[in-house]
Amino acid sequence: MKHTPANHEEWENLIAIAALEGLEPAESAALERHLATCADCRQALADYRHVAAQLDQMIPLVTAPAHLEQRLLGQIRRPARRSPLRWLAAVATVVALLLGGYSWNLRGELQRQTSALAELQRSLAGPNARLIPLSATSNVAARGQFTWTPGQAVASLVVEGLPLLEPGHVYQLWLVRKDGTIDPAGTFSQAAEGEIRATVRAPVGWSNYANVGISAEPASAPKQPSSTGIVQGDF
Amino acid sequence: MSGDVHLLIRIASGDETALVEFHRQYVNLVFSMALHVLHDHATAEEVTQDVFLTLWRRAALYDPARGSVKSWLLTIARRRAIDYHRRQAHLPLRMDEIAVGQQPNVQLILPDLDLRDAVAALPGDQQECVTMVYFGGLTHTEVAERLHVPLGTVKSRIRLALRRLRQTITVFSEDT
Repeated sequence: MKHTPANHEEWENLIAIAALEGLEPAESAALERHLATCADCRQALADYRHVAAQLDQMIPLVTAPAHLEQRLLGQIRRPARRSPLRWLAAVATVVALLLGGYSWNLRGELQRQTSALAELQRSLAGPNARLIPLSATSNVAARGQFTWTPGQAVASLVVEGLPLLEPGHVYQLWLVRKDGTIDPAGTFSQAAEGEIRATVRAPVGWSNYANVGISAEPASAPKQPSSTGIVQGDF
Repeated sequence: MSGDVHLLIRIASGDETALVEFHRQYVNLVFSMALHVLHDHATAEEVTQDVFLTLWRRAALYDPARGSVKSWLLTIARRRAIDYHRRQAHLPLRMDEIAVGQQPNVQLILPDLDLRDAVAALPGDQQECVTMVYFGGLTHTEVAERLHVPLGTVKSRIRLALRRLRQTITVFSEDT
């Protein structure tokens, strides 16, 4: 944004656009800061969002193809493991450590590859490598592998089949220590096609960890998981 | 607790019959939104499938404090359709793909004539900007570039449009 709005009319411009979800990221951040201090603008945003919701309801209604129901049922009945993430169940009782220095964004390190998981396994697995399969925790086709080696600082992550992200969300990798402490270990965005591959560093040695998992989180990157995990594996 | 919320709770617990019931209730709505944004039946089907799969996996994320289930679902469908379009086409939406207007032989979801009239009564340039942002997924900067008008003009058009619609909704609410 070239300048900060100087008056309420300029803020109202941004609020109206925000209600339609059309702001640039920098403007959204500026508006968020302003809203924290201005009750009138918060009310205006609520009003305009209400207007936008009404626009949603004015679209022409058409009949969906009848086969969609069977298609949906076929998809959800595909075999998949359904088990809750143990490490997410413990979230409420875990005190988060301040890990600012260790939580970094993996975006720059990520490379989308078309190779299969098996190829990665062959290329990375040295004689001492430990391979942790990552399994879907619900009815999604996601799977992956986390590979670490005792004494080495860098581990590798490969995951494929992650579902589409909601707008404004990222995938967050979590490492769960044996004492229950959860370390955020990096974020990455949607894997449109193929696999996500990343290198991962941890604040403590790998032998201190019990679980690894990935969940979808707001882009603001919470210190702890706030949603159900998508894939997970045990050290 | 509304019936919709009760259904979502059952879906969140893995109740397949609840998902079927919910799907029958809302599949037309979701498909309509996807088609409205994408104007392509095959992709609209993909989006619809994706929305309900998301719901199956994440029904527990619904927050009643943020609006009705129907509004939540429409928001997910609209955003997902815009996302699909960006992924598949790698091109911005064209105006003729997202034109506002009632199609023949279709029924409006909300027969709210006052608001429909208010939208129809908006100046064309205001309608255009609102539609490009909301159903086209463009930022106001992209709209300005696409329409070759100053950014401030786009901002004003959107503000004036929403302000007018807000007044209409307020009046309508007070009358009913």
